[in-house]
Amino acid sequence: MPDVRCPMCGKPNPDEAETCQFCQARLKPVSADSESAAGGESAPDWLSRLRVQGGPTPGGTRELSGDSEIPSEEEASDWLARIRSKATDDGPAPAGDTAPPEDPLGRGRAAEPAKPVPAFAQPAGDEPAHAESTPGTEPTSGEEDPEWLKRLRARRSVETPAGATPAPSFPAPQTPSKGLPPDWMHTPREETAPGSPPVLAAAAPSGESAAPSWLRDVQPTPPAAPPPAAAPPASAAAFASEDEELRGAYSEKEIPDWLATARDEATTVEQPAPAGEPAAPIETPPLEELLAPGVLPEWLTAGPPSTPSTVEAPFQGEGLEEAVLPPWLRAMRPVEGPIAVKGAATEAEERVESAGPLAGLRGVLPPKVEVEVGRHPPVLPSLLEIQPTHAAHAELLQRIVSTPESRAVPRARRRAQSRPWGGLAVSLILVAAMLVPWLTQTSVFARPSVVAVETLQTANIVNALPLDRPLLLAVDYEAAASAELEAAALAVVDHVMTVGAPIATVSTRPVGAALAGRLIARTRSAHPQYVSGVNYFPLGYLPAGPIGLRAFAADPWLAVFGQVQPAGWEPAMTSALHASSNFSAIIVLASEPTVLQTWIEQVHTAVPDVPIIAVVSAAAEPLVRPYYESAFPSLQGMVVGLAGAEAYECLNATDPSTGRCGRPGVADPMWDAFGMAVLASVLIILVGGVASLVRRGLSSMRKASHE
Amino acid sequence: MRIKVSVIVAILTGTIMLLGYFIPGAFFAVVRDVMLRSGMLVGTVALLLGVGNLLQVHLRKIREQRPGHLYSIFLVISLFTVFAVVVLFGPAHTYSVWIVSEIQRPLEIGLMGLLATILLLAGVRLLFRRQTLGTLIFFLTAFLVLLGTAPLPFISLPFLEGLRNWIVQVPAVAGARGIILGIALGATATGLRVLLGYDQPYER
Repeated sequence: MPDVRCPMCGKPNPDEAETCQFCQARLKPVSADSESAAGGESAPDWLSRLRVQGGPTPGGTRELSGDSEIPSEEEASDWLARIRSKATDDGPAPAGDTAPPEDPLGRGRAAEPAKPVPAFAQPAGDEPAHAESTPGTEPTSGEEDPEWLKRLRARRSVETPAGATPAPSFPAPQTPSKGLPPDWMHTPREETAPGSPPVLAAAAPSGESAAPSWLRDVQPTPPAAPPPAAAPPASAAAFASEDEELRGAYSEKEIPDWLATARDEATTVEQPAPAGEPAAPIETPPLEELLAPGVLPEWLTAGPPSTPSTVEAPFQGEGLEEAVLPPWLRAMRPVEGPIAVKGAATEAEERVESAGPLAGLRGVLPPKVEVEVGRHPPVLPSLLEIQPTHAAHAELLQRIVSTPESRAVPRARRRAQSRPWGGLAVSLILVAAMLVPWLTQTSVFARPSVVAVETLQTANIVNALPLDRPLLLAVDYEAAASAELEAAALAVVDHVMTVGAPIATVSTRPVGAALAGRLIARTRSAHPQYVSGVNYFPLGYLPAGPIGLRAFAADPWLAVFGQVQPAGWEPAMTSALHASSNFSAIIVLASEPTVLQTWIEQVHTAVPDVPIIAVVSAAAEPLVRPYYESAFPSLQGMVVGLAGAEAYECLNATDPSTGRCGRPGVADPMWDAFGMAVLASVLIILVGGVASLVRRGLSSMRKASHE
Repeated sequence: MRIKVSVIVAILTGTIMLLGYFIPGAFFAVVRDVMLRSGMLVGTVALLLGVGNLLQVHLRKIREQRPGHLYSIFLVISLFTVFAVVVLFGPAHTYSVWIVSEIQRPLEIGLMGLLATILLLAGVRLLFRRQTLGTLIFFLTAFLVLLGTAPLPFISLPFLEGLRNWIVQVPAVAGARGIILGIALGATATGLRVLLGYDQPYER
């Protein structure tokens, strides 16, 4: 469907639209409706044909060339002939009216018969309608005047005295269509549009004779005319008003020579003509003469204006190379978005007013302007095409923003290292507490009155050890824990030696063999019957951790000595060391729970019938106890810490007279020092807690006082 | 897919060792013993390699006169001395035992005592610097356990011992069992991953 551009705003409109959707300018002539309403039979035939042939061009303009627009004398209706004859009879018509007006360009082409249509807006079909509806063109005689005009003339003849200037009185405009100004008011404005000089010359009234009779009657009488000698010529009168205006805008210097020459020629030619006589038509020079070099002004001989018209713009752009947007601009281009609201015109046309005086009318009001104040702009869907370089830049920016400032921060002044008064005081308190029992030779701390069940089970197992099979003593603790573990181990080993069971020692730690030798050496003083190779078998160090333990569980002798046979060892006992199942029991001295866990996993699973006893430190007790207290215990006995050692020593030999251990071991002398150290620790913690509470209370009170 | 020989060896070894736990038989026992002895030898050699690496590092440090090279001198002297004594007299000889009993053991015990003192001081400072609910719980637990462990002069309070035993055997054991269970599950998962070839710690 071809679009029709609005002559006012230049925007495209649908072909069937009568008014512009944007500026509400009328696109179709009003005469069409009025003509159809008044009866199209009044239009002359040539005008009908002209309408048919001269339909609106797509651009809203009509072709200026072609003689079909010019009605011939034969085709002109009689009413036009009457107009011409009346104009002739009314007096000497000015040269610019009846005679072909002189072309301002000097070509002298007669432009009157063929009124060029303005380059926009009104089609040619309007002109007959104007002539038909304009009172100045239709009624040419008193008989044909309408009744209202006759009454107006009669009243003016009565009211106006002879020779007096009649008061200006204009008849009420009779508009063919309501709501629009009469077309005859449009005509002079349109004809005086720039670019149509012939129309200007033809339409400009040059004298009273050019106006119709009814108009002369209603118009005020002009003042007394100047003498004929001083009167300007007819052609100059046509430009009188124009000259007055142009003088204000242009000086004489700015008037081109050709125009001045043409004006002088016109004056020279028209001056001799007597007033009242029709001017003779001016001979039009041949076209070759007009187009000769030097005749035409430069601005006319210059090329066409570089600015293309709005109509021809689309056609000129066909041969141009398509513009290429830069990548960054193309990336920012919204891919999907509301480019245009489709159907807006249709919606406006289909809209029916429901209220007000326009109720029931369709498409009389323009669509509502979507001006929404106070609302957030809609979120337009847009898909941005993110280039890898853009993503890299965004990532770099994000990294820069998120990275903490790397500016060199002045290093805070290192606080002066506080003197270790606190640590020194605690150390002194602990040492003093431990020295008190040794210095005073007093024992104020009661021995454990209750022996733990696991300790009793350990003692029972030791008591039941067979004497023909060795007991395995695994010394797997570090030297740092030897103070605590040696006390418990010495109590158990002393019990074992008391029973007389052979002992084999092994260790998975490099220092374990030496610690085992130290342990046996300290116990052997009370049990000199234990001799290496007879009832004591130091197996030494077992490397490779869990792998070595697993190999030891499979064949202890092979894992430790291989094919080597130590000299002087008891053969019967040596043969018993070739199987871990021959051990009467396994006592693991461990300072860490993971060591005991390895023994349970690698050895106890291989020889589940061999009981395992754990002698551990107090720190390892929570993690070792689950192996003892489970439904299927892996440990059959436990001795925990110094308290367990003290209890085990008391089990070994209790003095019935004193109630104390009959044969005190290593744990008993340590018991008082241990008790004093623990009490000192408790007191330090208690004092520290109270001091912290007091300090907090003081600080809160100080803060409250400040507030 | 290229299968490495090391992966195949690891999977076969682990499978055989695992089957040896469940299936009694001479075949699995012999294979298992061979592998275990080989593992022990490799572990021993690895220990020697570690000692050699330690010696090399400290010798370089002494040669380049780096800061603290005096300590390296003492380390090298101690290493060679102990190595010579143990090699010459054996690990259970009196000389070897004397070195451990009179030098290493007092040093380590002294460090342990210093650790106890520092822990006590840190507990007290914690009360001053950070008074939160966790600090309060830590403070009360330490106070009650120590008081229940320590023998009281002239009196015996079974209530405190019972409270200490309850703290050690119920809440502490509950947490310890959770830790042990987690370790066991982790070890099982790790073993399965090694057996299936997903983890290849021997490739590192």
